[in-house]
Amino acid sequence: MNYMTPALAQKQRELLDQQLQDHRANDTRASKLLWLAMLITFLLYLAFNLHLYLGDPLTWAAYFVEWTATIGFLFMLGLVVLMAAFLSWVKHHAYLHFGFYGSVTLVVVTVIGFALFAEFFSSSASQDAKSNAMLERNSAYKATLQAPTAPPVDTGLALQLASAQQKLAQCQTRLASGKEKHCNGDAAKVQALENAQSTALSAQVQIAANTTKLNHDRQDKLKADSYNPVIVFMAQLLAGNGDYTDYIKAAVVIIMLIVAVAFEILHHFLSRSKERSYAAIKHLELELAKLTDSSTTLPQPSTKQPIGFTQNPRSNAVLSPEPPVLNTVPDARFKYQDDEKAKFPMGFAIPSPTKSTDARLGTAEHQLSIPQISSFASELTKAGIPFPRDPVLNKTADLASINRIIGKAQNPRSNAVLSQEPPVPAPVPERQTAEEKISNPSNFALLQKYVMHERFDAAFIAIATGNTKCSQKQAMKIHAIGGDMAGWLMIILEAWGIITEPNTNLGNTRTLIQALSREQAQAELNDVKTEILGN
Amino acid sequence: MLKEKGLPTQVLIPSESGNKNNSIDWHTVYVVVSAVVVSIASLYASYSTFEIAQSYGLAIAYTATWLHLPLTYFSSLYVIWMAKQHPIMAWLGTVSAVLNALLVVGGAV
Repeated sequence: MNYMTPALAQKQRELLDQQLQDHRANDTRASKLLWLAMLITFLLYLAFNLHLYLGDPLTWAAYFVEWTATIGFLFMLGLVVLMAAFLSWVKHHAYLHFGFYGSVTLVVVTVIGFALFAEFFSSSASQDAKSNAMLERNSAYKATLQAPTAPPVDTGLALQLASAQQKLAQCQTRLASGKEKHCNGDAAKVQALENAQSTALSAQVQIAANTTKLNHDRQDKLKADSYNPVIVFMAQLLAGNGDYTDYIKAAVVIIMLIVAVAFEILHHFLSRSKERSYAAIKHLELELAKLTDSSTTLPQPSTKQPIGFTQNPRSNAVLSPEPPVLNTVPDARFKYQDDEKAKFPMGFAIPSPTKSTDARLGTAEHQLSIPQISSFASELTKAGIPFPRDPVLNKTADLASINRIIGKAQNPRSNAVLSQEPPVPAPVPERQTAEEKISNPSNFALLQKYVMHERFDAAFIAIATGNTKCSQKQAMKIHAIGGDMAGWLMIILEAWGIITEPNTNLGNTRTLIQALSREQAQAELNDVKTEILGN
Repeated sequence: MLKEKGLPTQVLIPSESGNKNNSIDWHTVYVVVSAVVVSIASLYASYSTFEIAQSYGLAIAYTATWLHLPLTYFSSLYVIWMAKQHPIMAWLGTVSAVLNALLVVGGAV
């Protein structure tokens, strides 16, 4: 037996209030960060578009030379600003949407993929522009841009060669007239001087090439050093023992990839954080509402378990007339210890399954239970009997009619009354039916609360018409309702014969018996409200 | 008196991270250290931007800082606000803040 004293209720309320405040604060912070992220995304897309359509901002002065170019520039500027605003707003809206309804993989991939591309593009261009801007002001780099001076030509050697060639020519003239015996000496001198000149020219060419290479290396080194030290460090890591200036571009890509991915992960996680905060706020508000309701009945014995615990079903089996005893620790159990209650993890008690001695449907001794508000659809479905949807039969058929239908379906050749057939032992039902759960008076207040919830109607109609898959998880995700409410929604739909009971062989999945039209679904919803709310 | 009887003289209050009294709450240490690191990163990024603007002018400062300065602020706020609830994501935020702050500065030329 469990009693909630006023002091306990007050403390519980205080704790829940504190949790609610914390989650609201977290939700507010997530919203503010999402706004800031949207602003950054806008700047990011703007930078991307500016680089793509208008070039490096440091060169925009050229657009203002002629008025036609200025008009074109202003037009494109307006275009890229609008485009950046649109793209960033779409991304922000998508993340807000994900916060309420869960993420959509295709949209996430598109949004993040495009953002990464834009960030890559603009960040790489920005780093290059920054490097160029700094190089332009660097005197050492400017010096390397000058053409290297060629080494001076040895004019003395050329003069000596010319003189030797002249003497050789004179000697050959005299040799032809017989005045000289030979010109070998002059020829050897010319040859020696020519060799010397050739060697000197080769050396000059080699020196010029080396000078140019050194100049280019110096330029590359200065260019590489003009990048951010983090990028230079990454390039050195990539190069190992090689020349790191060749790895600058790769380093830029890697660093910008890290920055872009980190931002996108943080941005995306904000929507998850907001989603969790939103769900927690709704859950806590519901718990507080339940606490308010339960406090009005104090000090009546509570059939609901305190938050986070469930009462041992065995202790609820028989209500003891003994005086209330607050210390019921041996009977207290966590929710996860109770399989039945674990399906409704929001902290309130689903009545524990009671062992019924009724025979299973479809057998000779079958006795249908007729709850206070019920349909026989689930009973028929449970018996494996296909039946046409008939609201009248569903709600008003008497026991004999149902028995007749079951008998016909299972034994078409005989219209004998089922009760006259030989009895067959039937297994004891283990699961409490939806009708029994709904007809439990202790659940009335909760049912009314959920049925009056603003999202109940949409979720009910969506599942009944087949627009939403009839699973508790889908209902929670698509309609942004708590697990507790989704669980009761499924029970109500089952009780009204719209969906089947959970199939234990298929992982407790439910299936839609027959998709209703919107009008039919609305009529069923009205019926639900009439039955549960009494209006 | 209680000690003589072998009874505990101190009430142990479990903290959020499950630690007991007289032990360091590493979660709090992590949150505080992260906040300090990102605060320093934000200050460094701001100072670097100011210095570049003074040395090279606003145009170069805009080019140099690009989005790294706002990204530093965003990551820092993220860490300061979310480190308690989401420590792993806050670690990523810290890395992002520090990296963006370092990327603000220019090269060595």
